[in-house]
Order: sequence, then structure tokens, then C-alpha cells
Amino acid sequence: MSVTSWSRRFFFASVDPHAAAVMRISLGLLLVGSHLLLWPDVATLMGPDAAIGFDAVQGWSRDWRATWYAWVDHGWQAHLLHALGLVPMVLFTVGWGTQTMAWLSLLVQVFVHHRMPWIQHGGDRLLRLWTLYMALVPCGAALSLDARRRAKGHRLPPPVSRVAHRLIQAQLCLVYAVTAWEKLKGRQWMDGTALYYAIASPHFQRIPALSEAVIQNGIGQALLALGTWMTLAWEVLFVPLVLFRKTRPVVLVLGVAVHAGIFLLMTVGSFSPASLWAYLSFVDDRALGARVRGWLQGPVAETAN
Amino acid sequence: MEPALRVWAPGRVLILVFVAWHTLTAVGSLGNGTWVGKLIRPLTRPYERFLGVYQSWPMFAPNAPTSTYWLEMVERDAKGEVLARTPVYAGEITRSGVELVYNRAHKLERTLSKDNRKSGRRALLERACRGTDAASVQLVEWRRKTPPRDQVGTLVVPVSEELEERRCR
Repeated sequence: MSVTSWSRRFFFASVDPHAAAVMRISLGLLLVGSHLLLWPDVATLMGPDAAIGFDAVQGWSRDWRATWYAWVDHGWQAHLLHALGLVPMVLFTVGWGTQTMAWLSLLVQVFVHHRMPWIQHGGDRLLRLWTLYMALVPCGAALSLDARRRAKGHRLPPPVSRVAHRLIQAQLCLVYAVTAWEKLKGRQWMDGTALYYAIASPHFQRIPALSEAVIQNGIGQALLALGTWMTLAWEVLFVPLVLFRKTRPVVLVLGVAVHAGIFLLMTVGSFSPASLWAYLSFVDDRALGARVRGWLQGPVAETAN
Repeated sequence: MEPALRVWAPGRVLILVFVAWHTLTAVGSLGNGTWVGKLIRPLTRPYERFLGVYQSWPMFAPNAPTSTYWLEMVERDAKGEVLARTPVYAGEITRSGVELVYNRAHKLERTLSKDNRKSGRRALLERACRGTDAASVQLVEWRRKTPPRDQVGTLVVPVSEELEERRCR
């Protein structure tokens, strides 16, 4: 097979538009949620009287920084711009001017990142990457206002290429591979104490009483040691196992369990939901698309009967 | 075999060029500090930093933090006497119940505790100097408190170390 035909198949084979729509809508909701959760901190972290001014952030590195939060003179203006930032995210979710809105949503996230990089976490970075990848394809081909407008004009929806799926899959594999490699160098991951320390840190405790109960008894500590080694093994094996169709469901189900556990016990921002969202790219898009169409046609068929 | 899309060729080429560029950026980011990074990053760094798409994914690696940090401001007079100690921003973490939302203020303090965040700490010091009313305050300093936690889960007395100081008057 030539490189050209391989790249055509690998990147440009079509994805079921309804599966792409599920990814677009769920990512849009994640973006909106993540943006809204910043709301209480907008004035104190990104307003004109913020703890750290934009000039100090600019002075930190030689990188060029662009942010509309630097334009404001009053806290309410920062809130207004933050609210304005929701517009492209909401329009991306409902699929109005979808690809343009994807790029604008990315720009809004970049504005937040440039204004205050020191409050950003891995989940924020994943959301920027996911938005970038989804902006490359017409993911508003189905379940969108764009699709409705096209249907009225009797125009065919654009085909959705697989390139976004491929980039998301590769990125997720890279994340797990990099962290596994780093963890293999750590003493705590080898002696089984890493989860103990992670859960013991007040910075990350979701339910302090639960965390304390777990870390202060022998059974809890033994379970955490087991969890440490299982997490490491899962991260090390993620890439080889996700590549094969037969082992893929196992490694993804384990991933859901790991991220659900992290979400229950720890506050690590949007990292867990953003990681789990990427699992959708490994789901059979034709099966997912058919199921979505089944759900949508179900109520219509029942009404007709 | 799945049907390949009939994508307009230049558009397809553009996407492939982007994929190649983005992959190169990822390689440069992963190789940061090595000869590979030194070779690639001068080219890719502006793009990487603008979008904030660097590929560092430690996630409690190589080790989970064994300490918690918070910054506190110590006001001193001309003789060096301590006038007051106040939490800088979010302060020492005291949690109860359920923490629903990720605390960005604590994240800021944790980040500013790092050695290479001097400009951020300096900005906060200047702000503290401006904000203090007492004429007797000559000097403010940031201290990082680090209470390590041992294996049986007891917090010991925090170790305090100075990170930064600024003369106000």
C-alpha cells in the first residue's frame, strides 16, 4: 500500500456524522462547564485588581501573550468578557457555524491560559488540544443547527474525516505513555505508596473524611498500594492493549474505573472528564452513530404507531 | 474497506501539513532539554507556547507530592521584629465536607512555590507592600511552609523557608 493510499485510509476515511456529533456535543458541554467553573475566580485571578497583574505574567517568560483579560479596567468587565467567551462554546455545542466556533472556543481558552498560566492544570491543556483537533473536521454535519439549515436547503452534509479521531487517539496514547515512563522512574510508584501520598495531600482531597479514613487504616493502605501498582500497570500497558480490537474494551473499561476513582477521591480539575471524553474516539463510530439514530428515531416511531 | 472521503486535495494536504507540524512540535516538547528539543524547539516553541500544547504529563510522577505548600507574608519593622504573619492568598488548606470545585487559588500558591516563579512572587510582594497601611512595616517576605506527611498519616510541624523578600520603605 502506498503512503498516499495509507494516509487516505488512515486520516480521511469517513466517520459516522452522528458519532462525530456525540463527540462535539459532549466536548462543548465540557468546555462550557469548565469555563463556568472559573467564574468565581475571574475578578481575583484575571481582573485588573487580580492577585498577579498581566505585566508580571508577561515578565515571567519571553513568550508572546495575547489575552482580552488584559484590556479591562474593572472587575465587571472581566466578567463580561468571560461571559462573552461562553458564546462560541455554546454555539459549538449546538452546532451553529461549528468549525468557526471551534476555533473561537480555542481562542477563548488561549486567552485564559495567557492571562493566568499558573492556575492551569492538565485538564485545561487536554481541553485545548481536543478543541484544536475537533476544529479540523466538520463535526457539525449531524445533530446541529448547521445540519438543519443544510437540510432546508436540500444540501448534502460534508463528510467528516477521521483525522480528528486519529489525533485524539494518538494524543491520549502519548499522555499515558509519557506519564507511565515518568512514573517508572519514581520510588513511590515502585514501593506502592504513590496513591497514599496523592490522596493524603490536602491539595487534592475531594472528601477529606473519606481520604483520611482510607489512609489511616491498614486495609486502606494495602488497597492503595494495590491501586498504585494496578494504575502503573494499566498506564504501561495502555498503548499496546488499546491498539488491538480484542483487548481495547478491557483497557478502556479499566481506564473508566481509574478515572472514576480519581474523580471520586481527588480534585484534579477537568482532567478525568477530559480524558474519558477521548475514549469516545476508540468506540466504533458506526455502531455509536447507529445507536444514536436509533434513539432519535425511537420516539418518532412510537408516535407514528 | 471504508470509503475514503473525496476531500478537496489542497485541503487534505493542508491537514497533513498541520498533522506533521503538530507532531514535530510534540516531539520537540517531549525532547525538551535534549539535543532533539534543542534542534526542534526554536522553530516550534512559539506555536507550542501560544496554544499551550506542551507535552508534559507528570500526573503525580515521578512521585506524588509528600508536602502541601502555602505562602504567607511576614511583615517586619526596621529592627527586624515580626509585626504580623498573614496568609498571602488562599492560605493553609483547611477542608471539610465535600470539595466540589477545583480550587484555582490553591493551585496558584502551589505553582508560585516553585523556584522558577520568582516574577509572580515578586508581583505579589509589591502588591502586599502597596496594601499595607502600617508605616512601621519596612520589609515583607514570602515564606513557604511545607508540612511533610509521614507514612502513618500524621502531619508534623511545618518547615518554613523564605522564598522572597521586598523592602517596602
